[in-house]
Amino acid sequence: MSNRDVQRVIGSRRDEPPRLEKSPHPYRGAVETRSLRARMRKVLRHPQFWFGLAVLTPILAWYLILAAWPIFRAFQISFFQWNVLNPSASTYVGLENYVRLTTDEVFQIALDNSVIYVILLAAGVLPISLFLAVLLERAARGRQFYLFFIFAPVIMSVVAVSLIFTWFYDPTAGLFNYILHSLHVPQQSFLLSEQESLYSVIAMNIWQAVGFYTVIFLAGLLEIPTLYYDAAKVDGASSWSTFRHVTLPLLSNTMLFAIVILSIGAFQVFTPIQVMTGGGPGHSSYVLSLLVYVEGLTNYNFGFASAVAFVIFAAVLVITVIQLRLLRKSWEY
Amino acid sequence: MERVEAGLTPTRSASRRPAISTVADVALHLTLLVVSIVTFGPFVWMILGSLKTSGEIVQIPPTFLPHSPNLDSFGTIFTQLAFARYFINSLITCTCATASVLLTSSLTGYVLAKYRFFGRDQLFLVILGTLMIPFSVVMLPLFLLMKDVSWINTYQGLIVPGAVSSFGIFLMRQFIDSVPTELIEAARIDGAGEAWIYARVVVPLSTSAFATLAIFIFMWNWDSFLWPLIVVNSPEMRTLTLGLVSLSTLERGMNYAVSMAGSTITVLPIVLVYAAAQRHFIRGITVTGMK
Repeated sequence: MSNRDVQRVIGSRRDEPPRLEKSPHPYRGAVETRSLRARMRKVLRHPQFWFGLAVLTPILAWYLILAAWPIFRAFQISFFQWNVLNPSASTYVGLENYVRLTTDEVFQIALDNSVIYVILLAAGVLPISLFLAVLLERAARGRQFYLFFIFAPVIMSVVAVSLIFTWFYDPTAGLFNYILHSLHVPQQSFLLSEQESLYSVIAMNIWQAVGFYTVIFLAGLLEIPTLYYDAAKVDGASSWSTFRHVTLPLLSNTMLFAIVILSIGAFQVFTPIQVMTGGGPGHSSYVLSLLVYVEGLTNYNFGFASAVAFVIFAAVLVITVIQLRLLRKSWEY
Repeated sequence: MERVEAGLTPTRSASRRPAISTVADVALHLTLLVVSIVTFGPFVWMILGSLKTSGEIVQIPPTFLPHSPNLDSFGTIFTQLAFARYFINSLITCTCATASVLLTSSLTGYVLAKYRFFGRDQLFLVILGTLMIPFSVVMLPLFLLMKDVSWINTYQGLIVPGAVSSFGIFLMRQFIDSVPTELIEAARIDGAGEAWIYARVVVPLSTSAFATLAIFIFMWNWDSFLWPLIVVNSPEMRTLTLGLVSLSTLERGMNYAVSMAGSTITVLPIVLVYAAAQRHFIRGITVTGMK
């Protein structure tokens, strides 16, 4: 093997590319094939190649079959009047399912409710969590003890928690009406009222989610170097202005992360609504995921259900893109 | 990161500030105590409720401690309802899914962290990107797929769609990334095979990541509701969460004592694990939350 061939087998160096054009070899193609084959042989001899292949092949197959294919399929179905029992009898309807979204009353209610859900959950959870995180940061001594109880709702099954709160919300036998009664507030119907059902579920969700975001914020607070607090103290800053001008700005990335995670999750909420109200009374507490489920698996209206699902997908994408933009912006500072 | 770990885990407690004043301190601890009662109270209320009779549980004013604690409601769910079966179904599903996720995540995480090949980082980004896909989008085609392969009402139908986890791959890649490459190279020079290196070098060095991931995946599967609701429609294949919901549609009006007994059975195993390994629950959130 000539020197140049050796170099080709090892892989050409960037600064000195092999000059194939001027090669005196009459069978240039043959040389290239041989070197490629030699390179392949080298790779194939590598145990890492086989191990990597053995690991990644089934994983990629799983992703193709159980993630990529379903997305493609859902997109396809959303343009059809889908026939579940006999898919070949499905009729292509173009954008009809998406057009129907603009006039469908239940979809409008579900969309409004999903947006309300996100906003109210964020408005309830984030301030409470931040407040608790600040308290926990100060209570270094009892932190573990309190954290155990504050985080506990997060690990509890949503279905079980929904059942517990269904009992609490019971108009006659529930704990909440008993408390309201002793405060001389008239009896409320909570889950059985069109005006209150959605908000009752959100209130329960706030209770369950606070612990999770408290831990996120607490981790963010503990990341802030003590140095900044010392500096603020030397400047004679009050504890409020320290919080306002030191803690909050340094916590902005954590806050952004929390808002995004919360919005993405809340926009897809399903279980507590399904268990506590089933979307009722009437359609008063419908949310988008419930609409996908009911239209798809109760009414077998797969085309329309898929169109609704893509609205959720679009919203999640928008939230994520905004987050990436904002994060990039904050890096520039 | 180390400081956060120290501040959040019970092993070391880092005291950062001296107590400002006793009054503020008392107020602080009093507030946290009240909050703890609010967050943990419903759990206690549930257990107490499960020990009451169906008459006492709807009594006004409500009683705190049950008058005559009894296990009748538990008897109901285990004899009149197949809660033992539901429990076993959940246990089988969660154990298999967790084992599979641990294996696939650690292997993929190892390859993505320590191997160099064309398109590796792009592949990792795509896997991360799948975390954004709402389940609503894929659930109907997944249901059709399960129907086509006759996996409705089967364990594999419950397990396989959750057998690989993007979150798990992410967690494991981040963790194995910090395993020293020198150790792996040294083993390779000594003639160790790739599977040996994975089993004897990578796995022993990432046990804490395994523990965290195992807890999370098990808990998620245990609480999972929407997918079982879709893929199961026969009573004997119900998981615990499906069994719980079936309680509320069982009779006219709900028997709260029975539903609290069912909730207790569902929640208690996870709470016990939580009490034993709180650190791992909290670490799972901070590790993934900050990177």
